[in-house]
Amino acid sequence: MHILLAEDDDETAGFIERGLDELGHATTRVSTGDGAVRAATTTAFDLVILDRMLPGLEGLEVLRRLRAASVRVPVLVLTALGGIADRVAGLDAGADDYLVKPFALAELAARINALMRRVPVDVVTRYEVGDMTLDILRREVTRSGRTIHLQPREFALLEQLMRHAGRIVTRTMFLELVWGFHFDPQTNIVESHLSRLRTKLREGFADDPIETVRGAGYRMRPDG
Amino acid sequence: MAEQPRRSAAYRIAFVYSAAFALAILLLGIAVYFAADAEFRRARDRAISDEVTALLHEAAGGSLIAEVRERETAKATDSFGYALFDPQGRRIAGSLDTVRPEPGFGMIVFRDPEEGRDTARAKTVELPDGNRLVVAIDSETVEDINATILMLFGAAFLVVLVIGVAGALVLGSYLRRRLGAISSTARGIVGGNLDQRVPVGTHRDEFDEVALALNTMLDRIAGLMDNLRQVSSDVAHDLRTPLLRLRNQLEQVGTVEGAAAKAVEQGDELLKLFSAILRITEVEGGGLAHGFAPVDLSALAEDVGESFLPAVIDSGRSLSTRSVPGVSVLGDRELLAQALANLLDNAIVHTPPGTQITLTLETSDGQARLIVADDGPGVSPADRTRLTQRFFRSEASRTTPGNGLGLSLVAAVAAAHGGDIAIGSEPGGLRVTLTLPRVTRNS
Repeated sequence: MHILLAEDDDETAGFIERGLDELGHATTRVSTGDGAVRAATTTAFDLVILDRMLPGLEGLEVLRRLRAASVRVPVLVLTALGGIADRVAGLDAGADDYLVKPFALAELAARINALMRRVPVDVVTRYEVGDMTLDILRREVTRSGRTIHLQPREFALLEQLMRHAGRIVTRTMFLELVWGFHFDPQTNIVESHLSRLRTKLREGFADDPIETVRGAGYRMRPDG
Repeated sequence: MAEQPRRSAAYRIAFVYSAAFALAILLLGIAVYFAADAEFRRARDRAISDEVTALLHEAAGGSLIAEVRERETAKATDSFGYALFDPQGRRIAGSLDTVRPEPGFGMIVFRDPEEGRDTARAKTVELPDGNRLVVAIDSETVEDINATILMLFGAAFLVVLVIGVAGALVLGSYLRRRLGAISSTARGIVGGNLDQRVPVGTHRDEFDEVALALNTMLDRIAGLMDNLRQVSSDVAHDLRTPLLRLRNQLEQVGTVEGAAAKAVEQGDELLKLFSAILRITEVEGGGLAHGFAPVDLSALAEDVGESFLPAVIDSGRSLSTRSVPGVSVLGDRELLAQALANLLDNAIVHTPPGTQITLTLETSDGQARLIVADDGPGVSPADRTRLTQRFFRSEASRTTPGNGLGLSLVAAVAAAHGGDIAIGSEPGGLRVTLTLPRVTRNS
């Protein structure tokens, strides 16, 4: 996939470029805001990674111009500003996701994957992955046709995993998507909820449909 | 600073006020003088007319000359003077020594036997027989009264002027003294003495209110300055240690196995520390309140309690959540959730397995209280007061994970929401109470 990276700091840009290369993505890098607007309006990218602090045109202004020019490409905003108001401003300007620097490469990769295959959420009411189904409207989960009773939180966790089936969902993504928390509690609340979910899904079956990706997060096995 | 009374607004206001008052007295005096004068003259003319009518009435059928003489000898009336002139202008009766005036009212000049020439108000009537009757009254009476009025008001004017000037000076110096206290405090603070406060009087008047408002503002500024100093010293002392540890770890990379992974771990810890400091600084810096919205605290308490329950159980402790429904506060849901999460984090990390943790939401008179309590070993009273200080870690918790910023954030969040936190030990263990003002239905 072709990704536009707008980042003025060479070291950070190099770090991201190497990471994207390892993941098999082609990267075009610009280091100014004006350059980002020019590149994104003339070339069709699959994704834009946009730093908020760019020389020339500020990141959010770049985003506004792109949206005003009807450029619908998914945009992931990177920022060193982790404040509460900053995040709201970023999402208001039309960002699809928001990642506070510094971040682990695994986190960035997971976010990129999530953005690239994003399907409008309201259209999907039912997920099927391998031998598992999840019906959002009926709040029902089955495995090989057998109904599994889940707590609301466990259901929400599974919904995110199935939505991103085959891709990694990180702990901070769970915190944001399931809990609405943009902070990381010292207590690992994600892990204990997930382990309960996994126990319920495993009961009576030989394998675990969810796998732990060390140092990155969790993934639903696409084949079930 | 206005040293001369001329340049002092206080003096100017007081002087203008007393001058206006004196001017009002002066105008009143002039008005009274003219009104009284006109009224006295009218009354005098009426008295003369009445006397003429009475005289002619009583003399009807008799001798007017005899009647005049009788009246002059009786001298019972208000010192009227009489004169009767024949058509030739000779005075044939009465002692009023004057020349024959024309008929009607007028001022006449006469010779007083004792005082010499004098003026009087007179009415002259042409009688049917060609004689003229003159009845006059001395104008001294009216002039005396007028003089009295003038004197009274003149005196009043002077007294008002003197009292006004004295009052203006007293008032001016009072205002200058009260305002001077404020400006000298301000100058002291500009000069670097941040501990100075405006003296507050006991009257609770406007000046005291201004002084109180200014002092509150100064306290806030001093708090922010302390905050800044604290952050600087935090950076200097508490952040150097983990950086040094990271540096030493990096030195071992290549020689000790797993050193690189450990260094990354320490780097992550360091970043977490910075995030925590920045978050506290952001919350303490204020300005968040404009983004505040009603937060359903009951739902939040249930939500956080339910989120933590599996992790608490996994750690070998227990957690029970008791919440009352329908409690809302004005605030930031995320910050309140983080504060609550920090309290639960602490209760898990700083207690032995088997500890019972309770999360309670209760209300009383316009306040909501979130209480996280445990029956663990607690904290010594001496350490308890220092728990909300940044980077403070009691001796007992040196080896447990954490950075000593958790409760600082809780305190900052409480303050940003107009509440506070209290740390107690009853009924044993540790009990942290986060008090927040409730949103009432009609606000």
